[in-house]
Amino acid sequence: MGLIAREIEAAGVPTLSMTSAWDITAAVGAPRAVYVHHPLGHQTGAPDDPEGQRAIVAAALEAGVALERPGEIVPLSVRWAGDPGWEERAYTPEHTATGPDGKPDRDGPRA
Amino acid sequence: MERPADVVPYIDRTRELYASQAAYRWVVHDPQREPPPWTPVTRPLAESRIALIASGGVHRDDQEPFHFRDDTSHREIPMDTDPARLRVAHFGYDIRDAQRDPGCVLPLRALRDLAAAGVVGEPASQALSFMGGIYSARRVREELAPRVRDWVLRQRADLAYLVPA
Repeated sequence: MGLIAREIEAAGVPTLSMTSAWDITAAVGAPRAVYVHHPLGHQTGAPDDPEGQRAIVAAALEAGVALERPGEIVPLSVRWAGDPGWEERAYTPEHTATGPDGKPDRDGPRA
Repeated sequence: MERPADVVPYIDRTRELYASQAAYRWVVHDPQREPPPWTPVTRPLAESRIALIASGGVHRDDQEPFHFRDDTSHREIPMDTDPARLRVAHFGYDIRDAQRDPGCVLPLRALRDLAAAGVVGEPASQALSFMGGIYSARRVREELAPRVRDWVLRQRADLAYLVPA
């Protein structure tokens, strides 16, 4: 997503990128990014929580447009309410992604 | 910019997970030699037309699903789409929550509600969706990024809001 943000920003439109993968976003250098400490697949919130999703999107937009340094990432203060310890399990052999059939898919890296 | 202590080291974990294969070459730009492009935000959020771009693999039930690898195609999804008509196809993350509620990765309703409340301007009428996890950075650079850029320009957006998964 960072490459796409850079392309849009270079064409004269400001961008704001959400991220839950700080290291990937910092490496590619997204122009403006807001970090949400959630498992992948939940960058704008938990399921069936429209108020929470709206709060995250509002907070992200407000914090993001205030950024003044290219490449800066600002963390939001939200915390993931489910699965304590999810950080330890994320992207480990037992907890990889699932394909459309709901089964783990392990035959290739993901960008 | 303070990196929180508990961020998940995805680059290291990907390397460990696929140790038997050639290491994935993440895109790295040196912040000094290749700093991010920069266009200042000049318009207040309440007057800004936002274009939503999301890579969680969401599509409408009458659109072709995304394919498994290096699919650089995109779908346009009207902002007022009934969530019951949204589907998710993505190989790179656990999609079960997004299938239950696509708002986890494609915040159509959140943006509509914020526009109704006057927090942001009226968003572009469509969101753009694709499936991230495209292995070839070259194909992202040459095929997808210019197409998304041109789409944003056609939307006459004041701000592009990018939501990966």
